[in-house]
Amino acid sequence: MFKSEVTLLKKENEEQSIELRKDDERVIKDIMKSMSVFKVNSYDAQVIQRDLIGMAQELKLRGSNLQEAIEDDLKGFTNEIIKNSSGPSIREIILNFLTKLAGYFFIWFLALAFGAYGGLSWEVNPVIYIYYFVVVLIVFITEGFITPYFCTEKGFKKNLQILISIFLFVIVSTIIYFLNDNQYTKEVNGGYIIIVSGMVYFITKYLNARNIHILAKGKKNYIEDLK
Amino acid sequence: MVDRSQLMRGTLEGCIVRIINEKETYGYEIISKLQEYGFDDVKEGSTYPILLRLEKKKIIASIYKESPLGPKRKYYFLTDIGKEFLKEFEIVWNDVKQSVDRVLKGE
Repeated sequence: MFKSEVTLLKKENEEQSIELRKDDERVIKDIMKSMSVFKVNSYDAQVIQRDLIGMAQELKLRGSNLQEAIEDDLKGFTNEIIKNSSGPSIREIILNFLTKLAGYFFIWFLALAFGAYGGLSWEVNPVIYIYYFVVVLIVFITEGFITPYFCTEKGFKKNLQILISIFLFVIVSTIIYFLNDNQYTKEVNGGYIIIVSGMVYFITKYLNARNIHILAKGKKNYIEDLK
Repeated sequence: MVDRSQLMRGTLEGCIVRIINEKETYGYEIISKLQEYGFDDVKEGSTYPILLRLEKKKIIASIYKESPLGPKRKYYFLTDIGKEFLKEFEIVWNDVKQSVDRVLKGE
């Protein structure tokens, strides 16, 4: 249900990256660092990564490498690629943000309900939720920029970006929690928020997969051989 | 000094389309052909962004295929828009070439 063309490409890129040489892997990583979701949509970014891996493999067979092929102008090469891609997808950015927002709210409220308050409703200053929204926004932007740094990593290192995001969210949220002024409080029904955020999470995740399907429309030739 | 790469930039796009028009081909083969024709300093760094641009403009299309050497290769082929583009490029190039020749000969 949530699988998309990007899932397929990511799997292929991961498999093909195993055979790469360290220096080629580093060059690909340096190029992909610039391909955040704010500059290139995730489908195009994965297609570009697939092309670069293929290029590196071909060069390896001929005793050359990516650094030699691109020469010293890595920045210029990357900018040209970004310029010639389809660019970012605003819908993808919004859906990604909503998925993240709903996901964090779901887990955070679950933790508050069962870890901090021991029930599904509690008294709190409602302003705190506006702060949480800002925290998710900060985490989302940070994640958007750091994710490409981990695109060529394998094993534990690949999941490091998720851990950094969660760590950032927990730290900032905890600071806000303790700094919050609890003079004015209102009863909050955490149960409703848990249900709604859980539903929003799955809906936006599904819509995101549908959006990628739209992004890949007319460009299925890049994944035809993977099915 | 004359900046050769700057001078080449505009014409390389047409040359690549002409090579792809001959037969379905892949990145390394395009570079080899260009080098055979005298574009000695052409490498993947200059051709890949052009290929991306041509694909975006739907002048060429591509498909991944098995390669006899090992990993899959991306093969490029010309579209109908590409065939029109090539005709137009040949006309424009001949015009430019004639004009430059006349200037250089001082006619």
